[in-house]
Amino acid sequence: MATSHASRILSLLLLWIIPEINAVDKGNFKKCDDSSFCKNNRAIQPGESPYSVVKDSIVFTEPRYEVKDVLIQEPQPVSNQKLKQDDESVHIGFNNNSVVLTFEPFRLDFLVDNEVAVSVNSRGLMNFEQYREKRKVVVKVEQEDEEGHAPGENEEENQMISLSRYEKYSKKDVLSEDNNEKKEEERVEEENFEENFKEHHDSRPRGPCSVGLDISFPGVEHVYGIPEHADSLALKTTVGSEPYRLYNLDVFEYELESRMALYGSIPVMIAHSVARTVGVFWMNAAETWVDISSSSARKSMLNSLMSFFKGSEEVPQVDTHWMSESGIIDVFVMLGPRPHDVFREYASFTGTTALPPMFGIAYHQSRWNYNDEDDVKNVDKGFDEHDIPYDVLWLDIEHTDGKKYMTWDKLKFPTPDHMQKNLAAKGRKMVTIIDPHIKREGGYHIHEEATSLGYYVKNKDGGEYENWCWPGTSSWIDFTNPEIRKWWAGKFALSEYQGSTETLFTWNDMNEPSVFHGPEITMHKDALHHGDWEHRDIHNIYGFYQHMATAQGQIDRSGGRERPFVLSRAFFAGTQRNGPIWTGDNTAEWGHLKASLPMILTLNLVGLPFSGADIGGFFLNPDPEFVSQMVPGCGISAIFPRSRSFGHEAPLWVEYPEEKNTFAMEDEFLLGKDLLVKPVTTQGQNSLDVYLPGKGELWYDLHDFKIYRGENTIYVSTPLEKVPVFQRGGSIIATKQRVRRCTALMHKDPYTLTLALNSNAEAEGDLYVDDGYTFDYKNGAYIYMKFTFQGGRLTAKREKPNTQYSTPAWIERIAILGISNAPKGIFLTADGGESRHLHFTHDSSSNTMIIKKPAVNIAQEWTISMHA
Amino acid sequence: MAACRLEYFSLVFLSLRLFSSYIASASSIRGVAVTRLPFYDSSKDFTCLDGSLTVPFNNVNDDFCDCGDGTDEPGTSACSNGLYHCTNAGFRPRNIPSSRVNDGLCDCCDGSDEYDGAVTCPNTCKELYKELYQKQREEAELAKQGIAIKQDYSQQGQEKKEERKQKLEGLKKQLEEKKAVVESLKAKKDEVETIEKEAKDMHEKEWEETKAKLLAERDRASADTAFRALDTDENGRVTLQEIVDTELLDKKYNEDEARELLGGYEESDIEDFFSGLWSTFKDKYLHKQPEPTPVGEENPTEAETPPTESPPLPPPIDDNFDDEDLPEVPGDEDDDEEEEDEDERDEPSDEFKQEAENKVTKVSTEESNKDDDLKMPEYDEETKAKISVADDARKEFNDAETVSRETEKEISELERSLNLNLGQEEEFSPLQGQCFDYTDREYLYKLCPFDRASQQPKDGGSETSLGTWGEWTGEPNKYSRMKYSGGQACWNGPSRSATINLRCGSTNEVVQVSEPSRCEYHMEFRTPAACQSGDGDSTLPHGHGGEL
Repeated sequence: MATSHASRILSLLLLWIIPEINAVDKGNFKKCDDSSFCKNNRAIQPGESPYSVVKDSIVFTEPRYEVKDVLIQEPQPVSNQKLKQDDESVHIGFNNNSVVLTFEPFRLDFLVDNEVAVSVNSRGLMNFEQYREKRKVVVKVEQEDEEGHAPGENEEENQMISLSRYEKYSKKDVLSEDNNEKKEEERVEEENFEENFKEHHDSRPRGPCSVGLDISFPGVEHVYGIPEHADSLALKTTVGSEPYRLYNLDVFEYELESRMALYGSIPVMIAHSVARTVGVFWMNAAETWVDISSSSARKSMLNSLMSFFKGSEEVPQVDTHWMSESGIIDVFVMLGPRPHDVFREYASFTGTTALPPMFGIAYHQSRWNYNDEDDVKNVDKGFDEHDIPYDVLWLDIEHTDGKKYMTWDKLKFPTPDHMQKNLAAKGRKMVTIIDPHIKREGGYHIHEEATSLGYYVKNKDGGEYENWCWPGTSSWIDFTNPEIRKWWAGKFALSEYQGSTETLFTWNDMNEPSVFHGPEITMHKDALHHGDWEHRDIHNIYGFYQHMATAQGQIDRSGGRERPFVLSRAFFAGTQRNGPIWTGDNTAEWGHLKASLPMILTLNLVGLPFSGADIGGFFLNPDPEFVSQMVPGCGISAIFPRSRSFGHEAPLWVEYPEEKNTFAMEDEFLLGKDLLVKPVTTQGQNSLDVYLPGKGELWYDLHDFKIYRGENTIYVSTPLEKVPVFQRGGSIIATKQRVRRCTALMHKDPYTLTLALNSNAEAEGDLYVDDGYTFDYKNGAYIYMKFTFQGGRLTAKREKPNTQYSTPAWIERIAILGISNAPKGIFLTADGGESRHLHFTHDSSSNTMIIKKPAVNIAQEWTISMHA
Repeated sequence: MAACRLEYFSLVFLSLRLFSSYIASASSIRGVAVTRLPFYDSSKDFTCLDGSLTVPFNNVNDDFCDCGDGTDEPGTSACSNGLYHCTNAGFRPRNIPSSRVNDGLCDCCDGSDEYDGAVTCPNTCKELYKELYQKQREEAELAKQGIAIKQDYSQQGQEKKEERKQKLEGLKKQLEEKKAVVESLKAKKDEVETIEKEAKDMHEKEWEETKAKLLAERDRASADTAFRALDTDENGRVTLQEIVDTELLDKKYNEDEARELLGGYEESDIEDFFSGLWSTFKDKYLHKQPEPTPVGEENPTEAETPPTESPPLPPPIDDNFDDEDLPEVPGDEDDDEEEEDEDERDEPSDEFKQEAENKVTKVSTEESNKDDDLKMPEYDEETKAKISVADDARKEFNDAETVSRETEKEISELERSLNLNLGQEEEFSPLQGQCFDYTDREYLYKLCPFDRASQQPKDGGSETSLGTWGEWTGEPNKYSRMKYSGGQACWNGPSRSATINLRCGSTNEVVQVSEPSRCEYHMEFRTPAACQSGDGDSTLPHGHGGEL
């Protein structure tokens, strides 16, 4: 659903001739060896760079960039207790965990349940390059012939060498044994201070300033996270291959099973084993590479810590090595010990997912491109004629006047507000694209203000950074500056954004940022941002800031009342507070459909559940079977609007952390904790195996209500119209089943409660209801219902009795799955009134029962009892 | 709320049943078309129309879906697959999906789909009817004009077809005749060409003999000249020493080499020299004598200057080149072969040949005068006359063949036109060969019926094909839609295609072009040829949404 980038023009030529071409040109993007800092850090041998902790903390001669605005609060000190201290280490306890800080060489070992869970710098790969001047390289001259040929090439060098004595060398200089070594040293120093990639030059005026650290996870075989890569869910070892790269890039028709960097970065890793789940957050916005290898925990363990290993068998361990080009080492360790504990801990400092407006999780319609207002009208009409629901219609860049964002093409879209109001009359919304690059054209108000206020990113010499993007010559708004973000947010006021209405929302594309004539199609690293920080320092957080400012603009537009909806392509840790992202310009191929699953599950694991893939793909034309599988596979969250954990897709191990066989499973997932989905991702597949987890668990196939036991692999047929979905026994799920033209029209529709009974014939579930579009829920304008079925009684209780929200929505149906005997009668008592008899039907062949029309308001408390 | 209301309705209808007719009672079932009312008999239990289930009649329209086919809830939104029937009195009835009942949007012109009080839908059926009536009258008027034109078109078309048929027949006959003429002219041509060839061959043979003689004389003269030049002491013998001393050979020869040249002897007289040694000497002898040699006596040897000796070769021959078209040049092929042999070329490549030919041709034009005597003399008058007769015969034959081919082409074009489906009564025939333009903000579109559709940017730029004539694809009326396919391929997508919807009009006009999905274009084309006798009749046309 996106516009792509520069290579689109290239591909126009390429694909014309060779339609089968594999489109991503890897040569356009760096490998580790092309980034000298990555190469240098990777070359550090274990134990080679021992750092020790000195009493006073390191004092920086020059400040280094520290990531801001990602944390929702600074970490608070917790009460701790010194358990033990000697000359070598100190052992500190906090909450139920503890940490051993070893002084020489420096290392940290975090203990959970008295077992070492995370070791930091246990391999001694820590590296912190201080800002420094460029060094001179001189050949170390010992006694030599008086006439001795100094092997220098020119007079000056000879002079310098003959004048030099070993003890007179400046401390800053680098000594080399001979001229060959000198040349090599000079080359390295040259590379440290300047880097060339393809035709691009990085002046790197501050020299090398990378940071690196190793983090190991004893007892662990599986690590996850560090999106975004088109790779497996469980991360792979990088020994003998490229490290995982985190560097927000616009990659054209990206390749699958690759550690190449993509559009966004979240430097968060989750390590999971049967015993525990832990996580680390490497808070650094510079280009980052992560190496992963597996080893044995005993090899690297301190003797003093050996006692914390239980048992005598070999303990597996995953070693990771984090390398960033600049910034500081700022690491958060999340000690779990269960998956949800890690998620909660991470959310406690980077925030939870912003509650989106209801339309945000419905079906969105986008195509490149809608020609004009008539086209929009016809597409809208076409959906209704074919009775296909949709909520939002998207306009790509062609709607603008000459690719100037926040303007309209006067001929094609002469009455944009009228067009939006026509859609809004049916409850539908519109989205327009607004990218961070601004066309440099006189008279364009955004450009004129940005240039007169100095709001553009600067080049290394302090002038406005100019490069090429969709509109031609463009400059980029410096969203890292809070003042500029405020200005930008103000541009979304209805009075500022001409032709916009309250039902117009936004799409931030190309915000990696995509820079057509820049290195790796992004911004030069020596470009300068607010506070004179180099682009190198802030690259991965640039898109986050645009997303943040745009979302704020929408909030401000409604006077702080309505929830924003802004889709971004680039992202960073904390993006979940701004809004959704999508996995970029995929292709309409089965391989990409399959790959979108682990990508989205990975994003869910690191706190970004509101993410999706282009249904039908951006490139190529999909066939109908492909679309039929893609739509339910990705749009399923829209069918089950439920509670605040809506659409949270998770790997099976998150709910069943002790089932080892699920640790690498990436072709099925849980939606919330009660629905298991296995999408069809192979063409022509008409049956498949589904693993159902949980010992003693029951699972109900929602297509035929067949019951299956957990810890069991079953075989199901998958005709075209069917996506295998299973409801967990013991759960109650509320749905609206009257599918209207869009979600806004379903607001007052009645609910169906579906009870799937567990082996004790019990079930429970909850439901969150609010108005679907405002922040009023923050003031208690919502309903949170808890439903419990036990001993033949189903009760509905208001969980937060102080909340207030009224809705005409009622309960039309209660379906009970797994009930073998029909009761004699069913009675409902609501709000302490008279009990009322309810009609019901029971089907003994499928063990299902339907209770007809309890007809109570969804906000009411009630009890239904069955009389045997 | 909705539920209560419905109960009220069913009560009303129960009381009515006591004293009114079946129709009267059934007419109060919300959302049911009159034709289906017999299935909704309130005196009986209700059976879902697919027969799957029977429920008490109270379950009909009670806002709860019982039937799998949705038929128990014709008047509510309870069944996701149900249909609601708008009576739309005064206009035309319509079925809408049940999900549009009480969703806050007015879908039926009688407003009956929104009855829960959330919105008030005005009854717009009368206005719609008026509008439609007006539109229909206009269309009827248009159709009237259109049909008249269409009849004219059909007549034209049929005449054209007949004309084409007749023309085709005529042409076929003509073709036969023309072919016969070609045959006879060919025979005649062959005959005179044989005579011509004989005469030419005779002439050439004679010349060959003369030329061979001439060449032999020249060779002898050259040998004599060389001998005399080498025989510096003029003793009538060329000696070993004279060979060693001479500057006239390609290099200096020592004694042994000179002896070899002399065939192992110490010396040679003129006769031995000519008969035994000259063939070897030819290559080595440099004729750089200062004094010009008189023509006929002391000619430069061929060997040294093959280009000057060789006749101009014919220009490069392509396959269509007839021998007859070659310029008449003196000399013959034997000369060429000789020359090539002497050059000792191993099967020269074509390129090489070509190059050589060019060179030769160039040189020969420069120096052709020199060798006038080696040129074949003109044909004698008798032969010339024979050639002239043959030329005439050839021309006649070629002209006749061209005419015959043209006729064949004309026939195949006619056949193509006759095979085109130009409508039931040839009414689309007059459109063939015409193009109709449509201009929007950016593009100029062109529709050339039965040929192609295209798009061209207004500000210049090349034309993009949207497809060439494919077929009629209308349903149920085949002639209501045209398909043009196989246009220029889209980037990363299919090749462009265009669908043309035809509507009745009094003139031919493209009235709209759109691209509803990528690379698939739609045009609306109005033409009298598409007018149907029923167009604009009093029956109401189908509106959007249609009968579901």
